[in-house]
Amino acid sequence: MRRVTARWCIGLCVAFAALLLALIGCESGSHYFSSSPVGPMRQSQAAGTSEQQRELAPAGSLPALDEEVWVIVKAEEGAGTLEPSESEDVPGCGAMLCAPPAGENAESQRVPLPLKHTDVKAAIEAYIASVEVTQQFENPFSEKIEAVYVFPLPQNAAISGFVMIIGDRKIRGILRDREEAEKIYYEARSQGYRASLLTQERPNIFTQQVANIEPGKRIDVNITYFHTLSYVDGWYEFVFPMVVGPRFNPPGMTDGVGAVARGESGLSGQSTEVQYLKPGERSGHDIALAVDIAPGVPVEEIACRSHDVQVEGLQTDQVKVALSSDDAIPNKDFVLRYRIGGSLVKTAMLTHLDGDDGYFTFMLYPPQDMSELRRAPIEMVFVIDCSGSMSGEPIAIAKRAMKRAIGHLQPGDAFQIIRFSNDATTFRPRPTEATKENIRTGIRFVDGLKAGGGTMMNNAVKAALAAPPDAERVRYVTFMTDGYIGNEAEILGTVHNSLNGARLFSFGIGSSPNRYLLNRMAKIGNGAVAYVGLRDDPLEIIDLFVERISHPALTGIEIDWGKLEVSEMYPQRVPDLYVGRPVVISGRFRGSQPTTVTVSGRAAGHVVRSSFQVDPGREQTAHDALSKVWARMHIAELMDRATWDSSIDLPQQIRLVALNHGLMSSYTAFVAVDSSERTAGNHGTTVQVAVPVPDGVKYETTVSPPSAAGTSCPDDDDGPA
Amino acid sequence: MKRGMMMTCGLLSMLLLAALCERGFAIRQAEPPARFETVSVFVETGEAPLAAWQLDISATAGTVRIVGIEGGDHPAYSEPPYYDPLAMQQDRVIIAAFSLNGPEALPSGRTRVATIHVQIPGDVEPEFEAKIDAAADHDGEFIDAEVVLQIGTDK
Repeated sequence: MRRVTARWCIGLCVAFAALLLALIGCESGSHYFSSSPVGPMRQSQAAGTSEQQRELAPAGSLPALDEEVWVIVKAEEGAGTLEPSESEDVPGCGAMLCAPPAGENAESQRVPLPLKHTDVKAAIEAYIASVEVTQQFENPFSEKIEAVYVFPLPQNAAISGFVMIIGDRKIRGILRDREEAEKIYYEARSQGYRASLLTQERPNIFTQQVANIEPGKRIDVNITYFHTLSYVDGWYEFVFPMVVGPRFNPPGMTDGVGAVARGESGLSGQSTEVQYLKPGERSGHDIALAVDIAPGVPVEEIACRSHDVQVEGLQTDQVKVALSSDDAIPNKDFVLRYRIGGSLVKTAMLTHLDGDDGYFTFMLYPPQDMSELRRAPIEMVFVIDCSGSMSGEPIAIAKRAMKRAIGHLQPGDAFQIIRFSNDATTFRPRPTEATKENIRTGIRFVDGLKAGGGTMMNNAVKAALAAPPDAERVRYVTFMTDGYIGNEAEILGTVHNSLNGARLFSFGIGSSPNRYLLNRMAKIGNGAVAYVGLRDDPLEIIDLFVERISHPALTGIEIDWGKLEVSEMYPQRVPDLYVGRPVVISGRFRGSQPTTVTVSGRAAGHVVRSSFQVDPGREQTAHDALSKVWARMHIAELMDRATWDSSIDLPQQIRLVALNHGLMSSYTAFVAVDSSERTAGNHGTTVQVAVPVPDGVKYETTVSPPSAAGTSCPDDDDGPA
Repeated sequence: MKRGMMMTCGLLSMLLLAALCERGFAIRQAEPPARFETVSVFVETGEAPLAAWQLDISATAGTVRIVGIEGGDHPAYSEPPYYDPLAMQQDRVIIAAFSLNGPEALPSGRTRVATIHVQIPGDVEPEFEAKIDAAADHDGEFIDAEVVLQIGTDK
């Protein structure tokens, strides 16, 4: 009896276990059991992918998402299942394998990726650029894939068009609430439909997902946006960013932008993650870029220090610029500057009338007579980023620029130097007089700085703005950094809350700085921004900065609109104007009669006033870019406010503006589904596009090793020597 | 021994019960999966060449989410038409397109000008209403036109 009971119990246990396993298998699939034979790294990769997707996916599609774990494992186990086809050996073709290829040459060989090519076409009229970006995704594997690509666009881009292209068919994507768009995408993906989704992670970082790309097939995605150009010291500047720099995220942060090695999906612990190619690895992804410039007056000079370009039509009003095919690796910002006749540069108002209502954009230049006024003594606080991402050329450039600026200080000025990486330390306990001896000591301090460690920028912002204001001197804070951090909102909030009358000037250092952060810091900080690329002369740029701040800013600006009824102007408060640095303003208006617009303000105690004529009935622009530019500036204003004000529902306001104007934002997304045909099988393997670290940035000091999840923080070896 | 086995059985029973409950709950909560469908949009103009058009399409029964808009068959309208973002928020679509081609390079008769890709949640079969806001020929003259919707595709 006892034996019978024992057997019965064993049998019952086995039956229960089998039933339980069957149930678990029904719910989750048998994928986890399949993964047991793979190595530890591959297991973590599969789990990481699953975790990442769980955060993004709606609950209803989770079982399908788990299936991709199984497919990844299968691909790594099974020889030939996810092998690249013969196109792997053709330059510009290929797709990424989920695991590093085995063999002695693993660190030096070409890494195939599903992103084959990016094509950029820009047209500039006046100071507004219309840009089309086409990303070509191709699958050379023997199984279906979903391609995921994290990429940058200009921080002020008003993205209003999204088209998925399959062969000769074009499907326009629909802008929806972000959660709704994601749900539609994942449902389409799980049912085997070709689909694409574009989401915004930061104003300058986006994620493109393309589902169900069949073996050997290609799906293109076309994105359209508008933006205003910046005008810097006599030059208009068009920028196209090509790669997201590796970001540092403070400990405890989970909604940052992680930087991990290729194939290490999920290890950063951040909601957005960029995979980077290892040193010696190359991808076949290349880029073509063409810019047509039609300013209405002859272009006198063109300069592109970032890339090699071919120029046609110089000295005419129709100039064509094309990126040289020898410089087609997308690992640095494309920065094109052009100059038109100096005497022709004047405040220009662009208007677009739609019935009685209209939109305007105008670039407000500082009055010429401001350059004759001299500034009062200042307290200059130099802040330099000494984190690991700055090691090498960037820190060398920043040090040269800073030493030059220190040398320009005048008797009566005071200064402080703050370096930061994992922590922030100062040159002197408090700002010191700009005597010759102190300047020499300060320059020696800068000479001794080294790069390494994390980027705890918030500590530096607080240190720079915390000291009590000097009653005799206006405080100018200069930040020299690449801006490679994931906690932008926290930094901007601190700048706003701690400014205390200071002015903040940001200098973006390197080939691909975080322009969103640097631009917004300068805007909120009532200062200006400048960029120093690897091929720029830092001394030239710092001299222009010194010249700029050697004249007082035009403050307290007021605008008399004459006969125009102006409303909803952005920025709501006109920023202070510096010599050589105009600002762009956008708003809505009613009225079509010619009128005189007058701008007035104060500089060094003097009232400065200038006027210009506007004829909205005659000057109206044919396209609707102006309404998009206006809506984008409205969203930027709300986004800025959201960094320090949580008292009202700003996300809902942003969502409404974006949906009403068909614009991308953090809370809206574009989705496109081809409902005409289902592909066979499930949605296949998710393959993230790995990108190179930006030109001049060291992989070793920026990309998290597997053991450093959650940050991008190499060992700290910096500090004053 | 016996006691240990009984405990094991008890534990497994609890696990099984938990799994069944979870699964049962999941079944109760599950909605029918949303399906995807296409709606072809045809415009009939008789002999007149179609140089410009604007349509207003909405669902009168069932729930429909528009997930893509594709261009038509004729080369003059192969580009996907633009839509009104304000109307789209109510899942009503107002689309329009025009062509500067001469009459010989414009469609006439019955032509597909667009395909709307939709997601249909739930079991209710949707019904659509379409009206043509405007249609014009190459001289800018308004023309009589009729819009016809066809669910499904012959691609």
